Amino acid sequence: MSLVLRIMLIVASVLTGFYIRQKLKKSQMQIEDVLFWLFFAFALIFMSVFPEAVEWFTDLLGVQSPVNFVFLVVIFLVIIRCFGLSVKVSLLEAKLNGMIEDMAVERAILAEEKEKEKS
Amino acid sequence: MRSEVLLIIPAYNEEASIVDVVDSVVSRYSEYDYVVVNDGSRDQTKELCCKRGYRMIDYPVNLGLAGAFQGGIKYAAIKGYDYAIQIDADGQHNPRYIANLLDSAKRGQYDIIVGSRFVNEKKPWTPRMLGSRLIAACIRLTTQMKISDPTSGMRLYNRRMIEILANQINYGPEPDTLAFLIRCGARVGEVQVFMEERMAGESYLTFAKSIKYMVRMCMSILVVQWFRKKV
Repeated sequence: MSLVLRIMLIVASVLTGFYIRQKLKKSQMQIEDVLFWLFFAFALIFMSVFPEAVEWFTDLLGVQSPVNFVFLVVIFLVIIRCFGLSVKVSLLEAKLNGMIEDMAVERAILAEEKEKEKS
Repeated sequence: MRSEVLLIIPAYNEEASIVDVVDSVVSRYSEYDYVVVNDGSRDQTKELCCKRGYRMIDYPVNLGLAGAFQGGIKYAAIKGYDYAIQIDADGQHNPRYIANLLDSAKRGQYDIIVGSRFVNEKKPWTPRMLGSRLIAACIRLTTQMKISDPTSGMRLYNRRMIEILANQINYGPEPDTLAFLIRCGARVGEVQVFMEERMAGESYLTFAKSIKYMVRMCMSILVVQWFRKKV
């Protein structure tokens, strides 16, 4: 791994760290969601500080060059996150639809009962 | 006295036909209860229903047919109706067949009765019916049951089905739900009905949407069903 790439990874992780801190301070993110990005930043830092570890894995998996392994890790993490988000959005939509339905049905029934009382 | 059947009328931008459809139910089929589900329409559907005092479940946003249908089913579940049937707000479904559907559900102890256009009639070879054949083939392959008109929206559900449909996700009023319920042991029958052309408005299905719909249905029936939790 070239020195430039290692420095870039570290800078990216530090910036990510700052961004997360900002979001947490403004209470715009839940802790469960923050943990993933902290882990992500640590992974980047780990890979740039210990390139030997990356090279060891590169040899083990038969990947052509260490930087490819770095990409592989990043892509893998991003796909996991993407899948998690997809599940989350699905659940959110189901909950939201359920809530709208329940609310509207309840309102309709209330309106009916009111009308019954009147007559 | 309250009826044992609830007509669920999902309506999304149906200002041109909603009044005719509901008025015909109110005046000629007053033995049935009905509820209009206004699915966040952006036209005058809601105002028309309010003005004429129709019984209405009103959504502030558009959820799509599945959401509108489920709201009606939840209403039926809470109010304790024994049967619920979907009647489209575009005037395609004639309420005069409800008696037949109900009769057959009771006699055969069916869980679901599909108002089918093709029990006695031949299915034409139009592109749309080609889609219908494909879905029917998928259902037959996975359930060994012959459903002549799987895409018909006119379906009658009994109390047991109402309770399932009201509280689960992924149970929209579509052929894949029908197929899955058959696999879960629901008894499904069909009764011949004749459908009208839509009174007004535009069909929901454009060509691109039809293809998407077909792919979704076939994948859901052939693949996804095997991973779903049975009810």
